[in-house]
Amino acid sequence: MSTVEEHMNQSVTTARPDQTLEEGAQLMVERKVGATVILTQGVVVGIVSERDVMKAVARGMVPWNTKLEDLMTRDPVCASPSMDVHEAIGIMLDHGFRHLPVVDNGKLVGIVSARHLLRAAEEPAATRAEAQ
Amino acid sequence: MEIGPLVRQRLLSVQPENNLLDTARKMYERNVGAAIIQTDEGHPGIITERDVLRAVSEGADLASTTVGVYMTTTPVCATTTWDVVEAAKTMRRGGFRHLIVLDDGIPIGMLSIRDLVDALLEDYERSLLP
Repeated sequence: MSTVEEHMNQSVTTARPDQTLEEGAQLMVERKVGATVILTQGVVVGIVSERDVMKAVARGMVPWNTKLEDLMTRDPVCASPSMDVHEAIGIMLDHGFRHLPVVDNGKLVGIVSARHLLRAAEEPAATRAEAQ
Repeated sequence: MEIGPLVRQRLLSVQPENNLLDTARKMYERNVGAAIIQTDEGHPGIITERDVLRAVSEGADLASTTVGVYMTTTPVCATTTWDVVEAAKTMRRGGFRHLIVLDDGIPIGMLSIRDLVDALLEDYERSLLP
C-alpha cells in the first residue's frame, strides 16, 4: 500500500498569519498552488485555500487590509508521511478538504492535494476501463 | 465510467460586464467554483475562483473590475460521454479545474475537479476493498 510520503509535494507554500490576503493570493498565484499553509515559528496553525479567499472576498473583506489569520482554517487536519493513502483519501472525502499538510514530529514536511491523489486514482480506473 | 452522472446541471451564468465582487458573492452563495459566460460568439466563456484569486493578487478593485477582464474566452469544453479518466487527464494537463459540458454545442452543465476527484477517489477506495 502506498503512503502519503510517496504522493506529497515536499515544496510547500507557506505564509505567516499576519500577512495580508493580497500577499497570500500573490503567493498562491506565483507558486501555482491552491492552498498556503500558515506557520507560526515553524508550527502549522492554519491553512488558506482558494475557496477561503472566495469566501473572504464575498463577505466584503478588503484584500490589502485583511490578515490571513482572519480567514484561515485554524488547526487543520494534517497527515503523517507514513499514513496510508487510503486513509488520507478517506479524510478528504469525509471532510471535503482538497489539501492536507503533512507533518512529521510537529514539523511541516509536505502537502498532499486531491490533485496529487487523483493521479494515483486515475491509473486503476483506466486499467479497469481497459479490462472491460 | 462516463462523466454524465457527475455533471452539475445548475449552471451559474454571469455577464462579461458584471463586476467581480458580485460574481464572487454569487459563486460563494451557490457553492460553485466557476460561472459560465454566454457570449454572442456562441462559444461560452468561463470565470473561476482561480481568476478571482488572480484579481486579488493583482490588487484589483473587485467592485469596479468586470468579469470580462479576467474570464477565459475559449475554455476547453467536454461532452457528457467523455470518460472520467479522459476528463481528469485533460484537467490535470491543462491546469484547470472546471470543464463546461456541452450537448450539441449547448452548455448543459459544469464538471468540477472536486466532483471528479470525489468520484475517482471513491472508485479507487472501492477497488481497494477485499
